[in-house]
Amino acid sequence: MPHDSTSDMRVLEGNKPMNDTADAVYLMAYKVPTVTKAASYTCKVSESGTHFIASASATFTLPAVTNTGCEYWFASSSLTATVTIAGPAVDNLIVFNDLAADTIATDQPNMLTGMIFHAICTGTKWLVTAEVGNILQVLTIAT
Amino acid sequence: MPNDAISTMPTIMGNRPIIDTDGCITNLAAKRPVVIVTAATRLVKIEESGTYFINEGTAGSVNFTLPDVVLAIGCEYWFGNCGTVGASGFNFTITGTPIDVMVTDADIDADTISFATASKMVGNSFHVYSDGCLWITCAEMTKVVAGGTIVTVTS
Repeated sequence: MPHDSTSDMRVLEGNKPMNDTADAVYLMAYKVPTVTKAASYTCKVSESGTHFIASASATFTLPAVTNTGCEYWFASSSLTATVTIAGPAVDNLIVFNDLAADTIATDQPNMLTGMIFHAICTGTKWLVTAEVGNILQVLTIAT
Repeated sequence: MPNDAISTMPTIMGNRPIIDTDGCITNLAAKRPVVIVTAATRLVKIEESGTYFINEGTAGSVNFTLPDVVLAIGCEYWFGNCGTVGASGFNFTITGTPIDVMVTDADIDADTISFATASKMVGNSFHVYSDGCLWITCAEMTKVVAGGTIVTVTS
């Protein structure tokens, strides 16, 4: 039975997260959903917050740009798996120096792992950034 | 009406998050607060912890001032640049409170952090969080090879 003795997170009735005086959930302790995909996949709004792991090359298509606040992370667990992020329609991505990109993908064969894409919906576009493990990591952007 | 049929997150009575035996919310399904900012200055609040601020200012730089680092222990924010491509001077600056509390590349007492290359600012973001003493900062950039964006720090 969950209870507050196993976490610093403030809870009600032993297991319901509660807000602090600043109206934020206090010391929120959480585990992220992780989902492995071996083929291309269209992300769902109800999966917001999920970390998708590609075990084989895959294209992840994002939901409509009206889903403000939805966010996902994408990574590869295979040295040969390419990760591609696609907007729901053309010109829906904001990436490096580009307000209207179509897709962004990992590129170099020896640098497919050790980086994470983060996509968040602004309400009109998807901003996609990369957390890279090596500053030489190269990405391909389709405009 | 939210219910657990549309998410894998365990809930109570269909819509209340529940913690597991490790004291964690399991399989957290959440939408992040997104705030579009166009004003020249924006004071970031503690109660906005977890927010992704989007800079869409069209008249120039936006200066985000973080809350007091001690009071904001555990708070985290993201700042994304989605403004005009190639606009000279279009940028944003994140300022710590007080001075000398920002940790960035090879600098543990920085005052501000921003992007440097005028034509290559869009599509990049910063993630910052407070450990109660310092604001830890990380740039999340889409392109970091030669010719990419460079971060500017003032100390």
